[in-house]
Amino acid sequence: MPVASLIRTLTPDLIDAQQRIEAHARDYGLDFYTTVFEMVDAQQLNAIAAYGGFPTRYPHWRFGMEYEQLSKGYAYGLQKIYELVINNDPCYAYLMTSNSFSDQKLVMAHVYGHCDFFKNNIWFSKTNRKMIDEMANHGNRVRRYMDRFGAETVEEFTDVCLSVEDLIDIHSPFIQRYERQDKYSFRNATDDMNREENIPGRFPAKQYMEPYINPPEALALETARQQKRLDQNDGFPKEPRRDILLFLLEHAPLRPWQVDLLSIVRDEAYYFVPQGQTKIMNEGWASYWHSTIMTRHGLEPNEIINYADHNSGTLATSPTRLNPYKLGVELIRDIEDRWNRGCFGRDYNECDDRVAKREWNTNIGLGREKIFEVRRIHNDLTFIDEFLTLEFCRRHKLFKFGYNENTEHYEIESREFPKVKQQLLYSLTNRGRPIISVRDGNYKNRGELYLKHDYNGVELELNYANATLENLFQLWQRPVHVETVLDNRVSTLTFDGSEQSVSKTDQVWNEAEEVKTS
Amino acid sequence: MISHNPEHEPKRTFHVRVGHTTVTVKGHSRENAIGQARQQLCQDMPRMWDIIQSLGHHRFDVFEVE
Repeated sequence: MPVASLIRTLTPDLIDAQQRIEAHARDYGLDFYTTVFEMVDAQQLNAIAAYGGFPTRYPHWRFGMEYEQLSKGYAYGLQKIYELVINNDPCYAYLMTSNSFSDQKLVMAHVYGHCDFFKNNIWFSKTNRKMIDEMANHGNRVRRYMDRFGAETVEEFTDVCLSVEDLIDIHSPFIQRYERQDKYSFRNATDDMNREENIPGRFPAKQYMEPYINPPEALALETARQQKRLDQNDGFPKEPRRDILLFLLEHAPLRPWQVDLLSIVRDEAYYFVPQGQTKIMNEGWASYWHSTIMTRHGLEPNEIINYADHNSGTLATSPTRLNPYKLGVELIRDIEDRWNRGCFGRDYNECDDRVAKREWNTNIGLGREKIFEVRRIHNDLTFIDEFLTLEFCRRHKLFKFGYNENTEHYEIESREFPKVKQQLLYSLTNRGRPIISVRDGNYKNRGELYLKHDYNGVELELNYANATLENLFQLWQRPVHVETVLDNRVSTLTFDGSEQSVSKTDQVWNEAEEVKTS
Repeated sequence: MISHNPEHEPKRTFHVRVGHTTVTVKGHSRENAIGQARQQLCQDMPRMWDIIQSLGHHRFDVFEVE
């Protein structure tokens, strides 16, 4: 039975609690789309969570697998989803029927934090706010293809598309990466190329002024420069393209239904990008607001222990995993405290006295204003880069850990602030995925696809790389190569349709060179 | 000209109570003690900064310590 038909509305006491919490959230300046809460049981919530929060999506075995994982985790008491909220207008949020009343209030306050973040954070500004409808449309389209071409054929092709869904350019919604070609521009193809006005670098001039305004040697230089640029740009694509899915959509020999399916996967991948980009901030912001609203207004005395227990469970840190809720909320509180006390700017930064710095207080009170500004303009990467300070790192005992092959244990590698911060930033750059771009779509003039991995010290996982190459071959239908670095040597992985091969060159990877040439 | 500068007055000790919380501060006057208490409370409870700052003077009970 479809999940959507089983959803219940809120009980009167929950409606009352929701209205009170919404009023408090608005009083604090939170600004969100209308938020619709729906009651579901654990099974339904797991089903919706397996679908990525959307009640109607295209059919795929992966969702069933995720559902099994979630429901087993819940049955064995290993995990429990408290809340689920969708970035949409209106926002939809799900409450679990088995939660206690105080938990429901906590979830509501948390949800309002998320909804405010979805609406106001700049990284979400390009997302489709009618995604629930769009996802349902995607589902219908895929079901139609399944009826027409067979469920297995379509599902196998979906598997291929999903394995490459990360190969997108996460910043492209905000930047025009390359010049769009004007389809009505025929100028270069006409016979007028040699006419005087088309000489590169020539300014319009009267004939008697011509040698002064357009000296022949300057024109010759400019022509040579432009020719050189044209020669360099002769490749296909003209510039490296990071949105590999778009490149495939435009140039791969796909059937129309395959193009449509690939574009569905691409659209959904772009929709989920900001959530991956702002996990720490988004959870931190929601936790900040649930804790503020609940501790000041939402709790009855008999609910405090339950609230504190569940709140501490959510914010618990583990020695092996970074908890985005904890890091986010602590950083936001730290920013608020610093801006309340005026701990920023030149005077503060140049102060050498540790005691004076600790007790610094100009009573400026800009904290709340600052955290609202931070939630508007930052994503996790810029947030950590800008606000993770040495003092914060010390106070929260952050460390970098790794596997020691000698002792066969995971152990703390470093507590040094720059290393910890660097590690965090690495894991957040491009959401921790390798940066890969299309360099040549007609490699060796044989229509082969040549990709390049921008190596930054972390090698590609070979199992994944090989499997992805095989799937790319299915899309491109010609051999596929990816240039990367293995054992510090520039290497190329290839899949030619029948077998994998690795060719290592003698060229040693040099970080300084790479920076210089890229 | 003889000027009166309250900064140079000897400081007195006050207990300032707000709700269930009491802090001990040094100040020149009751008003000054409330200001000091606000600052102290903000330092001790940074998450309550906005509430402490917006509390009216009448919410603070000031007791001078002999």
